[in-house]
Amino acid sequence: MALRWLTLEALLYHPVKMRFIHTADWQIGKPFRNFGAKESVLRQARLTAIETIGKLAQQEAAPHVLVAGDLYDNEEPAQKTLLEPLERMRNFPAIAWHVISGNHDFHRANGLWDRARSLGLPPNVHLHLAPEPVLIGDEAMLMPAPLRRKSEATDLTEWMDQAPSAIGLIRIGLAHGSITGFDSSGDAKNTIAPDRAARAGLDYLALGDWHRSMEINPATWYSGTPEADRFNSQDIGQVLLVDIAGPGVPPAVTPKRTGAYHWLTQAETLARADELEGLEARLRALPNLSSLLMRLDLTGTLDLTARADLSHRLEALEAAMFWLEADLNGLHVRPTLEDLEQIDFGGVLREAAEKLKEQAENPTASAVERRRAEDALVQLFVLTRGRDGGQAA
Amino acid sequence: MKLLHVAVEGCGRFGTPARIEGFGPGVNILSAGNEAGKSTLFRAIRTCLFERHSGASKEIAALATEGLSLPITITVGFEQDGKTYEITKSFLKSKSASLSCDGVVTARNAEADEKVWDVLGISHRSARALDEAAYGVLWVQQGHSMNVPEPSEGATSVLNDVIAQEVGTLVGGERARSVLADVKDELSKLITETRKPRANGPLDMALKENERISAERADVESRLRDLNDRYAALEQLRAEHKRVHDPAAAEQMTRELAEARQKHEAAEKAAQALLRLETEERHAHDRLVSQRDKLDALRKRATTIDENRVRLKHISAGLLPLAEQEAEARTTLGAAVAEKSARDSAAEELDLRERELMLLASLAAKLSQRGALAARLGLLRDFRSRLAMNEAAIKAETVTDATIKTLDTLEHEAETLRARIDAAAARLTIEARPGTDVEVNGAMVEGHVARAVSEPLTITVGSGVTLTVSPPAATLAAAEDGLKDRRVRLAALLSQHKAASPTALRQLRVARLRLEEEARDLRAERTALSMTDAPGAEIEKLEAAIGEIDAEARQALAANAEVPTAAELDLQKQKISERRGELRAERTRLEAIIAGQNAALERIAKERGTLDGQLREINAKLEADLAVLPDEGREGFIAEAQVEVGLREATHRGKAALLEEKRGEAPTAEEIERLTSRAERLAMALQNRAASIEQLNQKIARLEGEIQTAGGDGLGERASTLALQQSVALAEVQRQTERMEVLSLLRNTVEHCYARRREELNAPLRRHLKPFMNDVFPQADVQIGENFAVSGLSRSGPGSELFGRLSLGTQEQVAVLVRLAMGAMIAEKGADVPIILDDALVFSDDQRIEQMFDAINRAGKRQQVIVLTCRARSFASLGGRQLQIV
Repeated sequence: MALRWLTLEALLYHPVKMRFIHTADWQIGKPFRNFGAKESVLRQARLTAIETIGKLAQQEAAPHVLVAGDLYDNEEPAQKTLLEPLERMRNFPAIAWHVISGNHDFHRANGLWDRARSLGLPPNVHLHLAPEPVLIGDEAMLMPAPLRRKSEATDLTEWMDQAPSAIGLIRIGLAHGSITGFDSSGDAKNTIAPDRAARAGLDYLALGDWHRSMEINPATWYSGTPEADRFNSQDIGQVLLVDIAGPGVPPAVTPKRTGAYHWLTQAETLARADELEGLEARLRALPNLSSLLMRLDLTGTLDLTARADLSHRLEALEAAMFWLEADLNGLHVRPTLEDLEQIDFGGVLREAAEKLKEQAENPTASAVERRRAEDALVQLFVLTRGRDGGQAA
Repeated sequence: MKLLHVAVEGCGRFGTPARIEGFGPGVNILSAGNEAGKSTLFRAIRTCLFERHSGASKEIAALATEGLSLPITITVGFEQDGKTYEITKSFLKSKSASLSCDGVVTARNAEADEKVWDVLGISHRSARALDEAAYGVLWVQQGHSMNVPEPSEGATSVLNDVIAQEVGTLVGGERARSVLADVKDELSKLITETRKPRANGPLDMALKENERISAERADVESRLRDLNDRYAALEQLRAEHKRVHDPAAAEQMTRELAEARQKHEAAEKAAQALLRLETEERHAHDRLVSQRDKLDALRKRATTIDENRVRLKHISAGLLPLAEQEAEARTTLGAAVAEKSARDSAAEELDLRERELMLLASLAAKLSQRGALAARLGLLRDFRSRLAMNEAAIKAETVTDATIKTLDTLEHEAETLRARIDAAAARLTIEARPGTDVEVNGAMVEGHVARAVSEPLTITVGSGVTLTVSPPAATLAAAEDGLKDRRVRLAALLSQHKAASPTALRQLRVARLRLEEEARDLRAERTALSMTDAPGAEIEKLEAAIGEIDAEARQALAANAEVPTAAELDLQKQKISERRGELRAERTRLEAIIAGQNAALERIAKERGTLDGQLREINAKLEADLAVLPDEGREGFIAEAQVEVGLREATHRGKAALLEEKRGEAPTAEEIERLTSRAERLAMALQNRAASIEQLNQKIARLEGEIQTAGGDGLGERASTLALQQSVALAEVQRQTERMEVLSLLRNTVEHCYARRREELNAPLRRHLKPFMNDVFPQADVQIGENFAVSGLSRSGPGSELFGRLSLGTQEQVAVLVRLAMGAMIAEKGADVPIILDDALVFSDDQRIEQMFDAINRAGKRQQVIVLTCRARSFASLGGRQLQIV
């Protein structure tokens, strides 16, 4: 697409402004095997998010959707996986979808993007696989920085600094990678200078890779993923609705929810049996349990009775939520006298319970040994409690 | 429970109804011989009480009476808690069950099955458990009396319940055992006894799933690596293609090629022009040389003409003396030839005479041998005559060894027949006293005569008495038939060989043997005469040889007065030889003369031919030269040629100058070769470039195809899925392993504590066992181990004996005592069961069995004990009630 120079007259009578949706990291085809039978639901949700974005663009009268990389989860997706998002975008012919490749779906000759082209791209889907400026509409010049390998050693956005553009056009960068210094380990790849927008005179730099919406500076944003896909990240999927009133005017960025599932990580510390009731009540009070995925990290110490009670409550909560993943590694059990009497008042089993308790509390034993002793104690407790001849009060 | 009566029908050997009566409290004894059906009856009790009537287990089926199609019907009467019950069940056919209490039916069928268990205080878990719990422990089965009790799960529960009642809940043995059983059960789903994952158990399945995923993942990742390698290769190829396909470089190369070709073309044109000038110069030079040659030839020809005229004169003068020499040589040659011909005729006559002399010498030699040949002829003729006579005589004499053998056989058979007739005939004995005339067949008999009556005999005694004695007609006829046959065959044999009698025949055989001996002598003589052919042929050859000699002699005598002697012949031969030598010498001399004259003639002819040839040649040449250069005008021709040479020299100089000038301007051959090479090199480079591009295009297309094929099935997505799937599988392996470790820890801990409490758990049993042990083994103590197993026996001294090393009798006695103690322990808690000892105590000696009877009677004080035995005499002192099968 050739660059055009706008005349001063045109600028005066037709002030340039731009509205578009910024999204990234769809990662279509991402596996969720660790969620068992729920996997297909979560995969489907990522496709549904595309439709949600399309509808949002229609509602908000945003003619362009910028996808800042990682549309696919893998550079070698299955044919069906390849086609599914394209077909969903095709269903919104009035929306122009501008896509660059990311580190998950980097571009290479005969790679997935060539495959997609050979299958026939929808006319409203525009692949930007070369670092060349492109006019989108009459208002803006898009400067894409597609990835051509999984890991780029150089800053692919650097070329934008020298890229010419017509006077009066909004300059938009589209890139995928980590803002320099973002990764504390210091070995981040695909790095992008945090001041790239300023250096290159960009009105907006749309970034992908970070699965959480984040403002780097007023003109540089990560959109986050439209459908959350992990714990300890974005709780719920969203996109950014971006309005730019004109060249040099700071963009107005509005997050818009698109995700159907809520990914929540919660840590709780338990010390007494009576806290279980409150914990369950708090969890049950969370909205939309049926679309909630929760990781519950439990720490603290409980007696055997409470520990058994906790198991029952977690079973019920697991059924109530879309997914509950409880980590009990930090939760220890310490039997009370009543617990031990429930096992037996004396005799063989009581002696066994005492020995296990002793081992669980033995500071010289390894953590694994102590944990096993605790679990054995819980097992013994459960077995004796369910027995007819048990000593339960 | 106390048994009251038992009745069966269609059960084992009891096809018809049978009943045991007389049960009472205490010791009951049923004495009956082997095969009386004691064990069958008590298996029937167990079946009736503890099997469901609808059951069809092997044990039930084994109870059925063979050959009958009756149902197994069993009725057991018993007393429990002061009430009298009777349970009747029919198994296999017409299945039914009925329970009555104090004469009133209280339940039927399945309800009856279960109600009887309720009455006996036994759980309903299973028929098998019932059996073992209530009965198996206390039933000493026939043949198993020495086995220590091995209580089953249910039986152990019963015992533990009893123990728990005694030692309270402090020990908690039954709870621990029950928990332990559950833990082991759970653990056994995960691992085997050897801690290997249980096949198809959760741990095994998790491990297998992980292995399966690992294998698939390795495969997918390997394919993915291949795919990425192809991508890398494709990238390299595309870079290479871009480099090779650079249009600027291609344009540069094309331009250079055009320039090179242009220069090359110009150089080629210059070279061709130079070539043309060189040709013209060479042509002018050739014409100059040609004209010079022509001038030289004219001058030379003039000289030749003059010289040839001088030579002609010299040759003509040399021909005259050669004709005279030839005539003289021909005369001498003719005389020598005539003389040589005369000497050859004389030599031929000498050869003829010499051949005649040789023939005469050969004839003389043959005549000297003729006498010997005539003598041999006489011998052969005599031999031939004798040979012919011998052959004729042998042919006439036909009696062979076989003939004589046949004769001998016939005579022997006839003699045998006659002897047989004599033997079969009556014997006639005559004792003629002196003075009495007795004749037999007319021959006088004196003294004692005995003979067989094989033919009619006429006996005359005196003149007045004539007796005729005849053998039986049939016997005689049979013998005569045999003899007649032999006679006929003998006559035929004699007739065949023209002999009058057997003696004559044998003489003929002797004569033939003599002739055969003579024939053998003749064959030896023939060998001595060295005959190679038949005598006739030999004679003919000799006659022909003699005839031939005679013919030659006659021919020689016709030509000569007589045949000369050998000396005469030798003399004549010598003369001929001498004359031939003389002739040969003369002939040699004449041949030398002839050869000399022929050589002279040849030399003369050769010289004259040479001179004639030279004359002809010179004349021809002279004529030819004169035709070209006649004497008149010779000088004019030569001058004209001289002028033409001058003209051509001028033309050639002009051409040579022009050529030299152009050579300086035209490119050298090396330059042209360089330009050619450069143009070819550049053209080749362009071709190579095109070929490289084509090759790269093909490689790229192939790789693209491979990538499309490999990438189309979503390898990367699959690899990603498998990686996650494996982490899930590994987590499951970890979870199951951890569960296994936790259960193992729990099991080990409980088992350890259980072992520590064993002595307390076994105390009630030990207490009940003590009085029984005292009856049989005073001062002895029994070691009870896990699950009530007897591990050893302590008698005197600190050590104990292992149970398995005790004598069979002691093992049997201890095992029975433990059961009695168990029964007593149960009975003490009001849940007594009968103790049934089926042919137990088979290894016990007389003293020990008495002590065992004391123990049994001790048990009988508290509960019912039923003793089944086939040893009525040994068990007579046991006491108790006698039961009977009726």
